[in-house]
Amino acid sequence: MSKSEKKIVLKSLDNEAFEVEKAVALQSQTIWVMCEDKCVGNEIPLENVTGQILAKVIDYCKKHAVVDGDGDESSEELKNWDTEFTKNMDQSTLFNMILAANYLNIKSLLNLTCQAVADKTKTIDEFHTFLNIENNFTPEEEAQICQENLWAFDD
Amino acid sequence: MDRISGLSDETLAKILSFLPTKVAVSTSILSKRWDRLWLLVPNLDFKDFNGFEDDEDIFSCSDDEEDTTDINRSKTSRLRYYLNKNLPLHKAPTIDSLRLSFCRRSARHEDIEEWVGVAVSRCLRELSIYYSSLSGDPDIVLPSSLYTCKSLVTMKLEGILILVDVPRKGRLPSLKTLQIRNVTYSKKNTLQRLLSFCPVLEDLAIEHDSRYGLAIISPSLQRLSLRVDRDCRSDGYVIDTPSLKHLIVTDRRISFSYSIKHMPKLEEAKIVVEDGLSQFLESITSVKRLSLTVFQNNHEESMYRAGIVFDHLEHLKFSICVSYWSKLLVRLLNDAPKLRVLNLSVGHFWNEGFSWSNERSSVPKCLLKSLETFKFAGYKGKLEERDFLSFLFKNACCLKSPSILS
Repeated sequence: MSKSEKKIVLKSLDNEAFEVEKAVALQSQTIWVMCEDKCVGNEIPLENVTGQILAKVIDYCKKHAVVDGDGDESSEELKNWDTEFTKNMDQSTLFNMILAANYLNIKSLLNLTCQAVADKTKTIDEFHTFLNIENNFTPEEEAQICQENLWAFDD
Repeated sequence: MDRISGLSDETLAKILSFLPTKVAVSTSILSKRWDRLWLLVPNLDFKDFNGFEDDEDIFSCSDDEEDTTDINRSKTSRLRYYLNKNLPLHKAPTIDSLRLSFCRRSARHEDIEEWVGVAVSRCLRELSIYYSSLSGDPDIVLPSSLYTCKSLVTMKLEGILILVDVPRKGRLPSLKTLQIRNVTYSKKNTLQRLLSFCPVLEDLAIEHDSRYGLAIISPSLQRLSLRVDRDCRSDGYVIDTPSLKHLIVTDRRISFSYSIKHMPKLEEAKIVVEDGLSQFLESITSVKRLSLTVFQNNHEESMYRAGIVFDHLEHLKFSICVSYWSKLLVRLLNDAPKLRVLNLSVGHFWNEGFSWSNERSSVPKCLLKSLETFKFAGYKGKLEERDFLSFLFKNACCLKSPSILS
């Protein structure tokens, strides 16, 4: 394989280009399928991901391409890195990361970002505030749900 | 609509899967989009110990008549009613794990059986049941479909009211981890038959307090943890596990008899017994790391037959509470030519112990060639201890970091 074949260019929605190692990019099942499909050249357009998010996704993939398959110590280090990676993401970034992980089909990143949302939303109130979810039940409907799921609202 | 609610059902269910099941269920109240989304969550963990203290049988009173509303229902049966109604409606194609922790007041045996049946029909991978009860007739009989569940990888059962009754034929082709703690077996050979259903079993943990004996026969098993209660009445245990790598046995009975086949692949063993150590030592000669704890030492019983050599033994942890410990220890040192690390812990005993002054022991090879680390905990300065230490320090040529603590 020549040097150029090892690299691949990912182009974001807002036309930002990222040159990355193929091994890094292929953690995305979506990119993997696109590469298998011979019609695509060396440049892969990703129409659903902005440059800002794609840069983060690439960071994640780089980290995981290097360390995967090593011993226990590095898997511990990787775990810490993952925690740091999502720790300070705001709701909007986290949300876009979930969408990107979903679209690019990177299972471990999807798990990580969904876990991060769950970590920030331990109660119904936190769900409403962190995720801006608006309650669209009528008071009667709400009472009904409460009644049906009574167990879940026990202390 | 807020952006998060625009995600697919599967993605929202994934977020819920990282929450405690109770919180996941409660998200039904967030908005219409979230109502009943938890029915897609593949990992379920339900716990209800309400009313455990009060162990009388509440089911004899009729609190479950059709017209009783949830709100009036006692807190103890809320989850039970909830699951009977909702678990059969679960929509995920597979249930990755079902964990149930209940007591007699919070679930009946037929409830547990029903819920397990539902999960098994959804390609269950992990089942864990803890049913807490101090007394009562064992009546939880898990559905026979459980014993032919192709997807099941992990099964954990705990509680004396769980009556393990396996069908004549069964097969658990994926089961790798099995933990069975203080259950009741329906027949003498129940456990043996269950193990015979598991061709790829790797990890087995048993807490045994049964009137029936124990036969652990598994060609694939790699890790075994066995705990036998002091009051356990049965005896004549058999262990035949040729692939075993890790063994932990804690047997607190005053006397016992084991028949143990040699374990040529064993790397690590931890054995805690009152007495009768010798029954184990012959089968575990391939270990690299060995931890022995002996509470009573009838030194005849503990001595193992001549000719046994621990060729690979590098780490030995030896804890003992009675005099004459040094006799057994020197025997072990003699039979462990590659020992590098010795951790010794001696408990209290009333006399001065066994005196070495007239003994002429040959010097173990490991003292001359390999023993580098020695730790002694619980040193009291008794004769037996002093004699052993002077023997050790006189002969251990490679010792780098000895430490002695009282």
